[in-house]
Amino acid sequence: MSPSLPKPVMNTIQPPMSTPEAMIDMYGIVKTFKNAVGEVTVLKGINLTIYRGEFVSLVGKSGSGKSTLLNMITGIDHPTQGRMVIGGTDIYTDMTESQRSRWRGRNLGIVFQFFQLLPMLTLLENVMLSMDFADMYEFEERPQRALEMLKLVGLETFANKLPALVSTGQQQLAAIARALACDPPLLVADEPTGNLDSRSANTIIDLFEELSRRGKTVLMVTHDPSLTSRTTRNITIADGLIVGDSRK
Amino acid sequence: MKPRWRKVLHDLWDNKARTLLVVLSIAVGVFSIGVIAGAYQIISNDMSVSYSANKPANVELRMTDFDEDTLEMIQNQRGVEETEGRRVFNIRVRVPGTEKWTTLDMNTFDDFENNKINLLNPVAGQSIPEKREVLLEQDVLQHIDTGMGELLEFQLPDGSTRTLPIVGIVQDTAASAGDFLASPSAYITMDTLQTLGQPRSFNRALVIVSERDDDIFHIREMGANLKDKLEKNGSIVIRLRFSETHEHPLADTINAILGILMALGILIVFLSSSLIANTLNALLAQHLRYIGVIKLVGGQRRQVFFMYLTLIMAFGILALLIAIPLGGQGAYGLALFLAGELNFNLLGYRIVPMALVVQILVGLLVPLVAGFIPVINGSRITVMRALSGGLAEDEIKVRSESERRPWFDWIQVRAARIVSKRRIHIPRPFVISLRNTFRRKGRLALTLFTLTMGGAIFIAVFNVRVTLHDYMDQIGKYFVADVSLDFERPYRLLEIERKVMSIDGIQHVEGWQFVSGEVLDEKGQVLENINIFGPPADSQLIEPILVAGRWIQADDVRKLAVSEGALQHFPSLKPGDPIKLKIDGREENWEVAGVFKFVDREGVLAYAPYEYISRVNHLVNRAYSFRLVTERHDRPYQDAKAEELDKYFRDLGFKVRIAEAGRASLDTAVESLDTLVVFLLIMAILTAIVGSMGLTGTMGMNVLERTREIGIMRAIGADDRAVMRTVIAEGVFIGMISFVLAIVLSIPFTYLLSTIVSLAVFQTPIDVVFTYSGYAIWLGLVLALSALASILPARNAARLTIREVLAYE
Ligand SMILES: Nc1ncnc2c1ncn2[C@@H]1O[C@H](COP(=O)(O)OP(=O)(O)OP(=O)(O)O)[C@@H](O)[C@H]1O
Ligand SMILES: [Mg+2]
Repeated sequence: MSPSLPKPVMNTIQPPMSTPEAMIDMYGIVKTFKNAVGEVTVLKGINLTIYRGEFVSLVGKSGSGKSTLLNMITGIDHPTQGRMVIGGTDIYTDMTESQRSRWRGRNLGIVFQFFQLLPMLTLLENVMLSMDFADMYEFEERPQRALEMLKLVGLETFANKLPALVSTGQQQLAAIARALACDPPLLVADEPTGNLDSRSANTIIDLFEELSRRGKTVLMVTHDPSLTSRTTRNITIADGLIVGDSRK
Repeated sequence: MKPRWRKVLHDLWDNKARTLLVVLSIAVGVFSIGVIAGAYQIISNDMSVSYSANKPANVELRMTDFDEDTLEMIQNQRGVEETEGRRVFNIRVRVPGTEKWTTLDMNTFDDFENNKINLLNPVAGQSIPEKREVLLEQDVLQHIDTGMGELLEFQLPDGSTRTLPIVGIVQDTAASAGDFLASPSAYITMDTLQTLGQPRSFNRALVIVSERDDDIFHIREMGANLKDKLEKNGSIVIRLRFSETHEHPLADTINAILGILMALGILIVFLSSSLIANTLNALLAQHLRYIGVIKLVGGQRRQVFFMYLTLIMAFGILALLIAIPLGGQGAYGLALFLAGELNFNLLGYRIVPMALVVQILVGLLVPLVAGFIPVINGSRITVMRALSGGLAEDEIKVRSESERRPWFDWIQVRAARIVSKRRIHIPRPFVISLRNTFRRKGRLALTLFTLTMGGAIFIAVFNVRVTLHDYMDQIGKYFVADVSLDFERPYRLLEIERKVMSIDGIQHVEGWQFVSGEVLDEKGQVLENINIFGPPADSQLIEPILVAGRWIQADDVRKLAVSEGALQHFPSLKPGDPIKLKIDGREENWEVAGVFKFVDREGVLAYAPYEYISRVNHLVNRAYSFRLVTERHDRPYQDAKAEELDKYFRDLGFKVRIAEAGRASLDTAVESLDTLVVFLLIMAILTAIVGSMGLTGTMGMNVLERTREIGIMRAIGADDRAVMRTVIAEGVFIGMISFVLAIVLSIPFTYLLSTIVSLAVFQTPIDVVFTYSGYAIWLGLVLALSALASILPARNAARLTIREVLAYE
């Protein structure tokens, strides 16, 4: 917990209701999977707006469609119906998968539950890789900036280790450092703490809080009730629909 | 159908790309072995059948002019089955209205209808010419741009010309058999001789012996006896040629070449089997979970084993379906090409049973052998391990690999840090490619092996080509000047020299002598013909490569420098040794002064000084034959000067026989060698194809195994091009490693191939020459091939949607 965080700062940056500057805007998102057995509609028409600077937790039972919704936001999978506007860009209209990848590299930081880092690159190289893909920052500057990101998550001493040689928690932190490397306005994380002990989980949530205070929008799927209490907004999803949305 | 078998079928069908890859890898091996085995059979059979079918002469006697009576005398000798008289002379022809003259060997037949020796096969038009008509050997069409029904202009000895129509094209299987240097042939009747300014008499007798026509010793003896008889009768025999009835004169050479091709074919099979092993390993790894399920529900190890063996057999059978018909066609195509080059006919398209059996064996056994270890391992796996396969298995593997070889990762990371300390930063996508290269070391080793073999052979073939050309150039130095000028009668050296030197661009002239005879053994039996050239001892036109002893000297009397060919008859021959010769019907004892390197095609070549031979020939200070050096040494210049000299001397009333560019005959020989090189190159390209198929397979498997990593790259912003670039860079990197290895391996390969080829063609090992061109071409090719080989896997990688890739299992 970080009770010392000065709340007013956050409020000045992001007044949730008064200045509705949307980071994510979705209308009628429907996702239907087809497989051998038949069709399953996992998302049943979701309308949701998330504003800049919000720290949002997304909760729901297993199989309720959280990861699916996240995949719609990140452009990893595309919706069957509906419109998704992220930071003013309609990401499913006139964009190929390849273009979406490039867009994602510059505008989005993603953190997964497992298997995050490329095993043949050191932590430092993993962080630099996203800058290489997005072609952000001067080539010569990238090592320095990557090291700063690793410092931010407290991993500077492990910078030149391969992922296999550090703990899962440290891998997760390195993945967050990578997600931040290109300074994206939006950070999306699917159960980032699901695999971690509570100490590592805390470090990560502290970091997210700090980021959201600096004006980043953070969207995180979690099962852990102790984490939802620390976010500024809590969305509950059940059976493909939003059933709860509360702000603090 | 039992579900297991359904599973097998399903597998073939579902994974079309992989099925195709395995089937093609087997098929390439089966195809190449089928082509070579088939061609080998067809050629070794048809070459002698076709050759003997045209009743080749066993003895050919080149004589001064003789008549019917002499011919009859030959016919009446014991042991002579058949004889025919011919008149053969060189004549220059050209297409009317054009400038370029070509020399033909004109063969005059006494009686086309009753032709019994060296038969002609009709190709087009008539096969029997009338008076003032001419038939052409089909090879002529390669040298002159003409055809059936066209006219040809013939140049007579007195310089005037006659025009005759071409009424037929024929094939003469005996025409250039065994002699790369022969001119192309044409055919007329005796009635046409007068038109072409030739006397109506024979100068060549062809003889078929009545028994032991495949015994070269008997044939030589017959020839020597005939020569004796003829010379006692007042005729002069200039030269003898012998050949067996059922053995094509080039059979040894061809067999040696096919032997090399066979070795390459076997290598390709070997390489393709490593490809198969690679693919099956990956397939089994993917099937681990399925194997676990089978075992869980009570499947026996044996059943799993047989199931996968069946799958492998299915691959083999599919490959056979492709490779057998193609291999049969390829075999016939190869045989047809060789037959065309060597001027013999095939008996028609057919399936060679031996080749078929070899193909089936290779197609079924090689995949079985290659797949045996992977299948055994796969069927032995425990249910536990099999079921924990997939994700967990993968991670366990990655872990244990990195634990087993932390030093390797450590070195890579270390190396990257050292370079980055020097402020050299390698872009990370490229770092991924570099490190991915070494992740599957076994697979990398197999891929490198195939690609490197292909490359080394490819490079070696280019070196062999240059080696052969270089050797031909050296051979050229023995008896080829810029222009050879031969007369019908001898002229004084000084006279010719004075005239020749007045012509622009001529720098040097020498008169040469020539004498022929036979080499005898201790008992006086004829062993072989010998042709002794008599250049001036200080000749500038020969740069001999001496193997032993010394070159000729002006004061040598009955001493000669002899070619290595003589060693076949006298293996221990060394300088200072006596050698018994028969010259002008007299047995003489000569001495070997030196031995030089040279390819003998007809008899043994030797040199003795002009100073001595001119006395033997009673032609002191005179010669029939002159060799000239011109200012420039390129072919067009030589041709132009030959033309000019020819006209100049004819205009002055000299009896010119022929004036031709020195390189003219050599070029034909080089062409034949190039045919051989083309075959080697085809095989090298096949190995390279197998190599790049191996690379495609490897890259495909790599991509398949790394889908999740590709998903991560996608998720953090890699677009299609970025993903493709990392995959292609890895493939190209592997290609470059193989190039470096191929450079090294090409050295022993070059020596090996050169030695085999030169032993086959020249009966002597030759000095190896290296050329950069093979290396340069292979570098380009391997880069292109490896880029191509990784494009398909790279596109597949780029096409993976991230959801598929990151989906939890
Ligand atoms: N590719 C797919 N094909 C078919 N069904 C799918 C696919 N992906 C997800 N589903 C289904 O959609 C539903 C929602 O899945 P999703 O992964 O979004 O759930 P979740 O809320 O993230 O669950 P968890 O808490 O377990 O991660 C599940 O019933 C799942 O089986
Ligand atoms: Mg989920």
